[in-house]
Amino acid sequence: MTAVREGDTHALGVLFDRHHAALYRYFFRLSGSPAASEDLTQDLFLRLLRKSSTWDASSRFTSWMYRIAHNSFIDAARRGKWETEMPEHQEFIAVATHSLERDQEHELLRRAMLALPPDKRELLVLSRYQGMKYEQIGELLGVETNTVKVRVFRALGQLREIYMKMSAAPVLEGGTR
Amino acid sequence: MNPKCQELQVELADYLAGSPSAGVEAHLLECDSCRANVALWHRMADVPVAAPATALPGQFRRKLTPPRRSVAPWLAAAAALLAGLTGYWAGGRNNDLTALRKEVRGLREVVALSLLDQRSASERLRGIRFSTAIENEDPEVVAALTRTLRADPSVDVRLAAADALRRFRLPQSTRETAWQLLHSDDSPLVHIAAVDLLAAARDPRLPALAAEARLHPSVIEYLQAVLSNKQNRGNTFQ
Repeated sequence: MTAVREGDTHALGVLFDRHHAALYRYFFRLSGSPAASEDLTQDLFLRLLRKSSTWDASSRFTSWMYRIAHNSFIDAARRGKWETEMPEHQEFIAVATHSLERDQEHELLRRAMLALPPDKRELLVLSRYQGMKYEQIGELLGVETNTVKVRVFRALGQLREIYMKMSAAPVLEGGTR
Repeated sequence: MNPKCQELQVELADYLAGSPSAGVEAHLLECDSCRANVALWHRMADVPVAAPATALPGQFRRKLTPPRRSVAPWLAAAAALLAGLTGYWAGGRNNDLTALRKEVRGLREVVALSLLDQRSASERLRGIRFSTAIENEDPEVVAALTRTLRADPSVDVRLAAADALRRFRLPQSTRETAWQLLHSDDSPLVHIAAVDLLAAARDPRLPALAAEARLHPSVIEYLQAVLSNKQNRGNTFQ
């Protein structure tokens, strides 16, 4: 990142190679749209270049990157961009599994996630899918760690309510794995 | 959410993150709601996510590169074609002509592959049309068409990819894609296109498919007609 700050765009390409897949997944889980996620991922790295002077070399690069990604997400959510895109067909539907039932459950969960308010969706994406610790999420959002924990569990409860309404059957009652 | 659940929210979140807790486990035994939340958390991990397009790093690097004249692959193709033509007219030899033909074939492949990667559905359809002009069977083109058939968000493009693939001898991966589409795609039209591909490849799983009730009746009817037609011609699915 130090090289990027000095204007080395080749170094930015290297950073892109290293981090673009994780960021794409972050945007994809939030938006449900492959095209929007690709655009946002590329735009994000261009933002990193523009904002490289704000990077503090003593802090973790990924924390700074997710802060900018979070801001991109907030901007897009304000514009309502995220609420309108529900893809009709996605690659993994065809390749991931032969089980129709499991496909349906995954699709239902994806739709339930997209029906969550954006802030709660992001909490679950960061904690469940991006592998971030509650402390890191707290730093990112500017709230106490315990506040993050409470919000994550509440968001999970809300996700379950939406999921159960969508499935019209409480298939998850009981069994943990 | 009962008072006990509220009281334990922080510990429940820690439990989700992998910190064992006897208190939480005791609570989960008696609280259906929290137990269901934890079950959902585990199931969330199984929801797959698509990978970004393999072309994305290349696209990004092109954005970083100052614009030059070589922005479009077909411009490079046209330049190479011109060079080939010049060589042909200047020399007029047979080996020049052979080289030129090879060059043109290669250019068609480059253009087809490039167009298949475009964001616009109409550009991807153009890519599929280009691919139909390729005389020789190119594994890279077949693989790109198979990816398009499997994952393109547009039904029209998926159908066009299926049509284009019928010209080739299908590898196992394409047959598997066609088979999976019968189980995962929402469009009966795509199902019919998949039946055509599998029938052309004489896939042995096809006859049993007629018994699958969840397929659209028109797909079953079409499949039965295909099977009957093949039998009348003495073709078997083995």
